[in-house]
Amino acid sequence: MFRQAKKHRYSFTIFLFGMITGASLFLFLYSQKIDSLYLERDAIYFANNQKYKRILKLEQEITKLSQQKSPQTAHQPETIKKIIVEVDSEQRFGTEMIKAQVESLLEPFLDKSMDWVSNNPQLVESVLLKKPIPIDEESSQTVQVYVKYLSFHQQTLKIWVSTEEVSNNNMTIPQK
Amino acid sequence: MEEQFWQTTILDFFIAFGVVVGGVALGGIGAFLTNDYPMERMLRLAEQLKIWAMVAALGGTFDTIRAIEVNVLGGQMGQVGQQLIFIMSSFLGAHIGVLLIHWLIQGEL
Repeated sequence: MFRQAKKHRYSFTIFLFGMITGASLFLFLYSQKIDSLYLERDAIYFANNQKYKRILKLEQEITKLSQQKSPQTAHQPETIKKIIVEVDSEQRFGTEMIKAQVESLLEPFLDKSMDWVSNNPQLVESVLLKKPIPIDEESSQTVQVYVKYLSFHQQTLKIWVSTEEVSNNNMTIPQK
Repeated sequence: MEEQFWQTTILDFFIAFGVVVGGVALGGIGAFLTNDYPMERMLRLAEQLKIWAMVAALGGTFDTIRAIEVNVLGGQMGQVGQQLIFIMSSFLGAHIGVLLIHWLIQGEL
């Protein structure tokens, strides 16, 4: 077996070389398409994750309501139950990551009074201005997020944000 | 002497070109295997490898700079010019490699 492999080592080398050449050619030709598919996949993952969170929250709400003996008739202030983030960015990549991170930064505003937040919109901005958001796993590129608009509708806080890159590419390849 | 000069110039050009194109191609395969965006990674790698392609082609910047220093002090301006042409040649090789990758991937320069 080993002797056979040794005998055909030239063929193996050519095979490996061909494989690498083919893979490189494939990438040069189709990398744009692959990137678009990856972006689409990330958007689907994100939407799926959001839906899952929403389902969990609704289930918790159902449990809470079913445990209440008498329905509350007294007027309660409307609270934020859902936060939707829309990103206005020139960058093609990392939009989903920005959305997810902005949502996690704004999590403290959940279950807060809508009136309180709408009267103090600078609070939302100050939370976002606190830290730049990395848009890749190595954190070599980060963006600063600025609030553009806020809208409050049916227990939903919808926020439009714009981004600005705060770090440029390092000249060295980041070490993992 | 002249033949040696052209040989080195052409060699520097192709080494820099090869480092960029080869590095980007294999880096792209790596990105694809690690579930990363291949196009974005390849374009970024092309920019990052450019400077290192020049360094690799020249065989380490220190030697070239040392040669320039020695030749300037020795008054051999022809030799200094040669070293500068080697640097330019490797820069051109790396830059053309980056342009070629942009063209191949995005279809635009």
